[in-house]
Amino acid sequence: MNFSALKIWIQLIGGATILTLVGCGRFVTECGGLPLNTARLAQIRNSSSNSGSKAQLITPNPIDATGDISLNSFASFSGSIFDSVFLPNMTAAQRLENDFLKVRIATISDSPDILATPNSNGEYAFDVSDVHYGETMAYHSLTAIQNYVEALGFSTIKSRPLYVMVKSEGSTNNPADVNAFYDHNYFDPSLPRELKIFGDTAYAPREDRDIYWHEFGHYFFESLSSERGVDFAGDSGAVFTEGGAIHECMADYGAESLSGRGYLGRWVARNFADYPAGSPLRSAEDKNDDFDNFSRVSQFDPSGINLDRYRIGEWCTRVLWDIRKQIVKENPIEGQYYADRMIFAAASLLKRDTSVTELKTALLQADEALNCGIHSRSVANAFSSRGFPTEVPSLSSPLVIRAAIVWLKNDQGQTTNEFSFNFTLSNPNAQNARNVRVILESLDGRVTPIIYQQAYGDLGSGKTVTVGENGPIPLSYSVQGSVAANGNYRGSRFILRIKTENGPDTVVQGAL
Amino acid sequence: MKKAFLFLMILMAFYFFSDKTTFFEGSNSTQSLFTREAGLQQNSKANLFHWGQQPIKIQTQLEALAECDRFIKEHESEFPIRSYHQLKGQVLENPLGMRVKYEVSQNEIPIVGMEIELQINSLGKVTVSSNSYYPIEKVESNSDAWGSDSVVIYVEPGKNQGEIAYNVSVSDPNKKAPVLAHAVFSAMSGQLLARHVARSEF
Repeated sequence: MNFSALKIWIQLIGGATILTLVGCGRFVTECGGLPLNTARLAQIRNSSSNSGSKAQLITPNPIDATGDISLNSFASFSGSIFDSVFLPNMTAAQRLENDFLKVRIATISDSPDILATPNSNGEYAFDVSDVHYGETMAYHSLTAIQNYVEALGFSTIKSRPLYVMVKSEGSTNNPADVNAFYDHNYFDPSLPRELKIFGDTAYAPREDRDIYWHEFGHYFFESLSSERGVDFAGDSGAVFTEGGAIHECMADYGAESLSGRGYLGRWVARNFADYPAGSPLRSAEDKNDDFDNFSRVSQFDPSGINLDRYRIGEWCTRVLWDIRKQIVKENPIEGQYYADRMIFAAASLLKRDTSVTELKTALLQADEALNCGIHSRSVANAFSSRGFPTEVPSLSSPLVIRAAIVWLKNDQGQTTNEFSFNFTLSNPNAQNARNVRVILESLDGRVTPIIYQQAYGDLGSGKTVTVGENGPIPLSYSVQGSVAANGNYRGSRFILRIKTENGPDTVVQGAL
Repeated sequence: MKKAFLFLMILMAFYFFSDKTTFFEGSNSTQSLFTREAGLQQNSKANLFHWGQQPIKIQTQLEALAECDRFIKEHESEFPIRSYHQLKGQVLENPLGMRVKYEVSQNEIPIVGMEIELQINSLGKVTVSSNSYYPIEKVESNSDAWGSDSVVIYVEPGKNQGEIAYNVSVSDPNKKAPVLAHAVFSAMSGQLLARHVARSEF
């Protein structure tokens, strides 16, 4: 062997060795992606930025800040509990807004005169119960999480502004009706994105950073997935879908990971009698409850308990949290950022009306692209250890449906131009049917599917879903379509398609 | 023995990075890309590097947009964009590669249900992520006559034509909690074409 060949051999072995060594250490986390600016990420996470106007806030909320579950927004708070934070990037003088984010109280068209302004020291400092405190919390929270995801390398869709109404006007205007909405306004490009918060209680959601971070998560997920409609059926009115569950999962995970607390909503949960005082609204950490195991949140039950996107959603956050914990264990200082990048990148791969199966595949793909696949076993283990089946036996027979058309009536009892279906759907197989969905398709231009898909979870052997017909699962859980108002729909044709992940489609044709 | 072996491996590894000459010395290969410098810069945005391929430079959102615009023009059979349709692209940065999402309009009336999404990988190669563009016929429209900002051209999935539609915000006062929704109605027939429901928490 001449010297040149020897040199090449040494280089080859050396190169392979360094790749192996790097593969066992943290450098491999940068395999396919740009290096992260972890100092910047830590600065955002710790709210230690020092640009912009100054504000006084109790972050994330008085209960989590003190551990005192009896505190509410009417309590007297001393100065020491407040954090001095900054409100970066404000573009309007003395207004909580920038080029993208616009904070309001009740409506988009609120007069500037009623909105928060700084005090004589130039600070936004208010009592917690003051609505201006909520405006300040909204601006601070949303700019922080926006800056965080951008520092991770994700830009968000800013073709329309995001308006936040912290004490929104709604149809009830009952201060006890606590809720938060994210409206992407898919079909009306003349409207902005809207985040509406309702309720004016002692634990008003506008006072809690978790609420803003979770709602931002919905907007962020739509951006990540390029508005493909990862839960388009849910956007169209479906009560339950796995896409909807993943939407909640991603929104929760983002909030939980950035806070590092592994749960959210201890403040807002005080509004609900069925949550013991101090319990979080949802938790990514184990709590020895239903949300630890997939079958307990996915299996169809005649009571309809699992036709709830938050149940699979909370289970899903525990899977993601397991993956995050493993990456943090390998890299305690920076692992959280690499975990977030991988998980958000996976979310960006999801397609229209996505599923848990697709999420698992996307996580493996993102890990392969960004980390050379070194977390593939952690990803697989996180799913399997929480009961998500690695292999699902194929169904030997298609599912069986028996359906009847129901014309819907309005509040005055008049028949409308919208129809739905009462149906029974059965699984005659010895195997479990995975992710069962009913889909309405038009074979005729005169029929338009509106709620074109509904999901029913996993349907066990011999089990039956009964929707409508005065059963426990109301008609609102069925698909819906519409016809033109001119009555020219007789004989128009449609398909009911039953889909499951481990069996053939069932296709039933019908006519109106 | 194991320690000595590991030490030797590490020494060779340092040697691997210490030499900045082309790896395949004397090779007839037209590409000599396995250079140490390139390997060390594989994460540099300014000089993206992948084994066996030339580094490329897509540094800015403007460059990404221009590249995708060019791709659409060069693939006319896949994107038979009609002269009366306009595309508006937005670049989304992502660690897995930049994406450009195009919205389609006709004389500034948005066409909903029709989008194109392209992705640029780290080699600068453009791929189609999704494409629901269809060369529908021009929809007769007179924005003065419609008189609303909320007018759109709606294209139902599977249909080859669009129609003028109105967006209407609706709410249900009978519900305990507020329900926020929008409905899209055909301007011609009054038929409900689509509904969008805001994502509520409780």
